[in-house]
Formats: sequence, C-alpha cells, structure tokens
Amino acid sequence: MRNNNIRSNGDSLEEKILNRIPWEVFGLSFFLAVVASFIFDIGTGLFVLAGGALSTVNFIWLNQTLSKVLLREKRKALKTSGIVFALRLVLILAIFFIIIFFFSKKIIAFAAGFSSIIVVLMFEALAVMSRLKTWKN
Amino acid sequence: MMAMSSLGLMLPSSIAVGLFLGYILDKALGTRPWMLIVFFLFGAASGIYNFLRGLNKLQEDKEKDEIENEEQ
Repeated sequence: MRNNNIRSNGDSLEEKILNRIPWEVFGLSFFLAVVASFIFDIGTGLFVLAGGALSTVNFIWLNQTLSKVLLREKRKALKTSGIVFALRLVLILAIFFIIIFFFSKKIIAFAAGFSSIIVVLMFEALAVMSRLKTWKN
Repeated sequence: MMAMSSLGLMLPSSIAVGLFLGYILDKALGTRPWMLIVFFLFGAASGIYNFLRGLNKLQEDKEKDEIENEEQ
C-alpha cells in the first residue's frame, strides 16, 4: 500500500514535469527571442521563437508517442506509433529544409530556438536529482 | 521520465550539432548552403536512428518487466 502511494506520487510528479516542459521550452525560447531581437534584429528573434515553437510541438508529439508505446502491449502498436512519429519528423525536417534554402542566414537562430529544449531538460534533470538527494538525506 | 528526456534530447542535439558544423564549414569553404544541407542530413539521420533504437530498447525493457512480473 505504502509502496503504491510512493509510486503514484512519483508518477504524478513525473506527469507534472512532463506537462510543464513544453511551456518551459516555449517560455525560454520567447525569452531568447526577445534578447535576440534587441541584440540582432526582430527577424532573428522571430526565427528563435519559431524554433522554440517547433521544439515544443516536437516534445508534445514525442510525449504522445511514448505514452502510446508504454500503454499498448502489442509490438505492432509500437510500429504504428513509430511510423506516425516518423512522419511528423519528416514534417520537421521539411521545415528545416525550407529555412536552409530560403533563409540560410537565419538557420542558426532557428536551431538555437529548437535546441532550447536541451537546456530545459537539463534543468529539469538537475531539479529532480536535487529532490532525490533531499529525500535520501 | 528518463526515457522521455533521453529520447527528447536525441533529435534536437543531433540536428544542432550537424547544423553548427555545416554552418562553420560553409563559412570556411564558401560553399553555402551545401555543407549545411549535408551535415543537417547527417545530424537528422543520426538523431532519427538513435531515436528509433531508443524506442525499440524501451519496448524491450517493458516486455522484459512484464515477463518478470508474470513469473512472480
């Protein structure tokens, strides 16, 4: 019983973190976009924000895919959700290609926004680790 | 959470590294945008490959856990 309580608390905490990560990614990219607009130009800021938005959408899609993989039992289901996610990835790659071909000077700004998820995930991992250390102590 | 984080990091980090290398090489060699395209493709391919491998491993771990639970 106690074990179940601990597990459900852990699960709800995980769910909370997973739900807030997309908001944090978008918030960070918005902040970076504002900074980039001041340092460079508004166009650069918009590309950073667009990269952050794409990263947010990518994480939401990933979350949905993984939830399906973990809930469903059959291997066929894994392939189906894998294919759906692969098609979404193709869409993301197409967006990158459009930017490379038509706005190649702004690709680093877009990549910076798209990579903002790396910073957010590192921050969340550190926060979870510090919380675990507190529980241990 | 761990799986989500590692899978979530794979694609953006691979693409970012590929784009960065491509951008630097393009600047150095004056071949814009070809190096950018080539290294972006390398990054995307490695990201997708690692993502699919991670997804497969996750599913295998899940199946192993289920078998162990059934045995108990």
